Amino acid sequence: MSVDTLSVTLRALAFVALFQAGGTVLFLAFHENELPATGRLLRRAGILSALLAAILLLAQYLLEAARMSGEFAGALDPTLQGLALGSAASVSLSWRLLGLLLITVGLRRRGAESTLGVIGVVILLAAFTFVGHTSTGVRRWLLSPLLLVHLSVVTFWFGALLPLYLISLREPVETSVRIVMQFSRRAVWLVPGLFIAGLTLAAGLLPNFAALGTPYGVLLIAKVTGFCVLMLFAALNKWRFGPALRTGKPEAGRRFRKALAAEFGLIAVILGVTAVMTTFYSPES
Amino acid sequence: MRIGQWLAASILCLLAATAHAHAHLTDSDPREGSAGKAPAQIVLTFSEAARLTALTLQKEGAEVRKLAPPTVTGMRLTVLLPALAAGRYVLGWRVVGNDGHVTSGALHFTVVEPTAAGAHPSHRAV
Repeated sequence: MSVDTLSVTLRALAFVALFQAGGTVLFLAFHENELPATGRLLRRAGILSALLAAILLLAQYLLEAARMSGEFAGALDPTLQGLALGSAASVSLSWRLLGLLLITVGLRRRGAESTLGVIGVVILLAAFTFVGHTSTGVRRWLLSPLLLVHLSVVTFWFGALLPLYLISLREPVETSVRIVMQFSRRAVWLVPGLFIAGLTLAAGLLPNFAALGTPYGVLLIAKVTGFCVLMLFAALNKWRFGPALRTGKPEAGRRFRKALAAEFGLIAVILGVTAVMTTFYSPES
Repeated sequence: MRIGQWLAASILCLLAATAHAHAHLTDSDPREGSAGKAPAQIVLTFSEAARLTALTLQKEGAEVRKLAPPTVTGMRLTVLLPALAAGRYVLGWRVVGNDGHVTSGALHFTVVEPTAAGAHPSHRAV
């Protein structure tokens, strides 16, 4: 495995873990009081995700020096490590780690400390705007907040899938149905926001229409295609599998969870594509 | 409370003053795909100030040679080359931008007229 492949794999896995951690916090902020059988398990899952995200982010960061040299041996080069340490990427990493720390503390118990978790999510997502393509140029005032909106909805959506899965297994039917319906009602408003923010970001980042033919553009199209398939699963859950939970039949629960697992897998793949796109390519090149 | 947190995040992102995008190659001398006299040096121009962190040179059918990258940071970076025989070459490069993002690429060129003996000193190979 090349150093680039390992680095981008760690980045993709870190995305999955950190959005799961952040999303768990947001989900619990809305529903914790309704989840006597699942709340504690979800907090543990969130903490585990946050710790995993921190480890993956640190590992990927330490590998940056190796990426600079193109060889694993570069990780031990003090000059290259110094370059990595003095960069904005290390500032962004610090904020992300702070965000994950607050999430971990916030998830440890219910009540006042849970506010820390929400602050942690805000910091975690804001750190994405410190580096990368949206953080440069004259349109930064527009692109950075758009990225923040985009990432917030991803966190809300992706991070809710595991909780919904567990709730449908562990909570009474009426609780599951109520929470699934509440989630769907919010998603109806938020998911189009994700799409609009994503499209506006793309329009702001790509220099022209022809750039859709570059590797960056092709991966962007792959993301949009993945999103369209995702909408299909989301629609099935909203109008078919979610309402079918009311019957209380085990088969209905299994179908619902399968669709959730498919959504989770697809979003994880899209996050992987994003990791490749933002690691190796630039909209202008 | 949540509105306050989102506002704080927006302010944070607007205040982030150290942000930059990836550095990418915008021009080079010799140009990509060019053919001609053996160059004594290659000038790489990037979209933003960058520092070369790895350089390799490979003649078609030969081993990859590592070259010592210059230790300066800038948008135009000059790479000194060793004496080159006729053939097709690939110069592999990696740079780090101000944001710490690493980008890599390759420049392809063909030497039709090799370096004359003693024309320029060989570059220090690593």
